[in-house]
Parts: sequence; structure tokens; C-alpha cells
Amino acid sequence: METPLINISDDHILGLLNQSNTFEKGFRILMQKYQEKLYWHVRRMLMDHDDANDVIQNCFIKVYKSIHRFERKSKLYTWLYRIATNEAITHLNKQKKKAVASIDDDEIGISHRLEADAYFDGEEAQLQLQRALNTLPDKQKLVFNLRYFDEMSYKEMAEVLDTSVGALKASYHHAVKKIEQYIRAL
Amino acid sequence: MKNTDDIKKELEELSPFLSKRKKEKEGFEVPTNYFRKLPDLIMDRIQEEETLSSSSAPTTNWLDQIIERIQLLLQPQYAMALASIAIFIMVSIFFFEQDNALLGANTLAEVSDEEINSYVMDNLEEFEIDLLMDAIDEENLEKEIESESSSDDDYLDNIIDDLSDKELEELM
Repeated sequence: METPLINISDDHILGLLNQSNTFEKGFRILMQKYQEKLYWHVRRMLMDHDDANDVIQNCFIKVYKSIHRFERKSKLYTWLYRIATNEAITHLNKQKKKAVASIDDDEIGISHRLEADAYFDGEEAQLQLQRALNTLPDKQKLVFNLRYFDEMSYKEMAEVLDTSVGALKASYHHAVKKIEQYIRAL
Repeated sequence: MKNTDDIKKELEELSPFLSKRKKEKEGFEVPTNYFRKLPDLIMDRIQEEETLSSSSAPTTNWLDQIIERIQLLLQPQYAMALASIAIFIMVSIFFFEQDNALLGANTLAEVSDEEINSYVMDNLEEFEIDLLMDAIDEENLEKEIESESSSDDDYLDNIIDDLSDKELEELM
């Protein structure tokens, strides 16, 4: 019986990636194990599927090129999240430069985009939460997503975002309060 | 699981209002079979990029190519062969030059003075004046002058003999 990919250990994957004759196999397993988690992480930040698709492909290409530099100082999982987060932030910044003073930048614009998105099938409650999230600064939104949806520990978040645990706790606290206020006000 | 419980408890403390809301699916969807196809898509892109980068590698100029070839020839397996060939060529040149020097000396000894003089006269322009001056034997030169002047006198006597008295008077 074949081992489900999710149960294949990171050590085993890294072992495969360490040898040239098993590198591609190892990389395919790595993608299959982490693609969904990383995709949803990126999608929550960018909202749009096409944007998330571009970013996740670039992210894995970057991983392919730089996996030999992974020094095991952190978990493979947090290292991958860090690359995905950086790619997503870079993409967001490019979008912001393109859309200076555009309606796409405000929360209503984002809601309209979500409603028009063929790959968004959210109900009103989900749309409310997305609107609330879009009122947050990028960093707070990122912290909320990692804690609320990805259920990451503060220690792992600190590795991904290179921020202290205390600062992350404060960010999450502020994000929760702002979201509650926003939804109550609707 | 402990992490999930901790996060739930933390949210209950921070915002009972949010924690009571059903933690719904976010509403985002992806195209059919997206995650099944994604690894192949990424691998295709990686191969495309690798092909592009190898085909668009900058072509080196001729100087770099020469340096590259020299570096290749300096590798141990080629360097030994090259050194052997160089030694063989140097030894061959040494023996060839020695044979040529001997051959030159022997050949000159067999050439007569007349042939040498004739060669010099035919190729006079090729020789430097100083060299010619040194080569001329002074004694021979005097003899030649003498013989030339005596031959000139005979020539004049003959001419005078051939002239009539009248012609001589006119000439004087």
C-alpha cells in the first residue's frame, strides 16, 4: 500500500533532494505535500486565483533553485511558507504600484472583485470576513491568516515572518479586535 | 491538535463574538483538477527556463575561446602529450640545423672562383658596397688597372695607325 504523501517525512524528502538521481522525485513529493497549504496561504493574501496561481508557480520554481541552500536551521514547512509569503508580498506591492488611487485598493473594490471572481463561491458571512480582513494592514492580515486559518504556532510564525513572538501576539490581538468591530458595525 | 485547541481558546478569550461564528470555508475555489495538474505545470516551466537559459548563454568572443582551448590543453592528460611533441620538435630542429651547416660548408668548397665571381657580378645589387670593397684583393686591383691602361694604349695606337694623315691633321 502506497504511503500518503502527507505522511512522508520532511527528512525523507530532503534525503531524496540531496541526490541528483532522486532530486526530481523528491521535488514532486515536496510539491504534492505542500502545494495546497501554500496555495491557500497565498490565495488568502491575494484573493484572486490567477494571481495566486502565478505566485505559487514562481514560489516553487524558487524553491527548486534554492533548496540546496536550505540549511535545516528551521523546519522545511516554515522555510517554504517564508518563500511563499515573500513572493506574495512582492506581488502585492507590484499590484499596489500599478493601482495607485484605483478603486481596487479599497475594501469595496476588493469585494466587487471577489463577487466577480469565478473561483469565489462565498456566502455573505465569508464575504463579510474578507471585507473585514481587507481593512487590516498587510502585516496584521498575514498574522491573522497564519493563526486563524493555518493554525500556526507563534514560534513557527516567528520563523516565517522573522518577527518576535510578542510582536506577533500583539498583531493578532489587534487584528481580531478590528475584525470584530467591522463585522458588528455591518 | 494541541495547537488547534490553544488557538481556539485564545480566540474565545480575545473575541467571544468571533469564536462563536462558524469557522466557515473561506469561499475560495480552484479550477477542476488544479492541484493534480499543478506539479506538472511547474516542472514544465522549470524545464522551459532551463532550456532558455542554456540556449541563451552568452557566446564567448574569440579571445575567450582561445583561452578556453589553451586551458583545455594545459590539463594534465593533454599537457604530457604536448610536452612530448615539443621535445621531439626541438630535437629534430637541432639535428636538422647541424646537417645544414655541414652541407653548406662542403658545398661552398666545391664551387670554383670563376663561378663565385660570376654569381657576385650577376647579383651585384644584392651585396653591400663595404662587403665588396673588403673582398677585393688590392694587388689584383693594381694588376687589373695596369692591364686596363696598357690595353687602352694599344687600342689608341691601332686607331692612330688606321687614320690617314689628313684625318690626323684635322683631329689635331
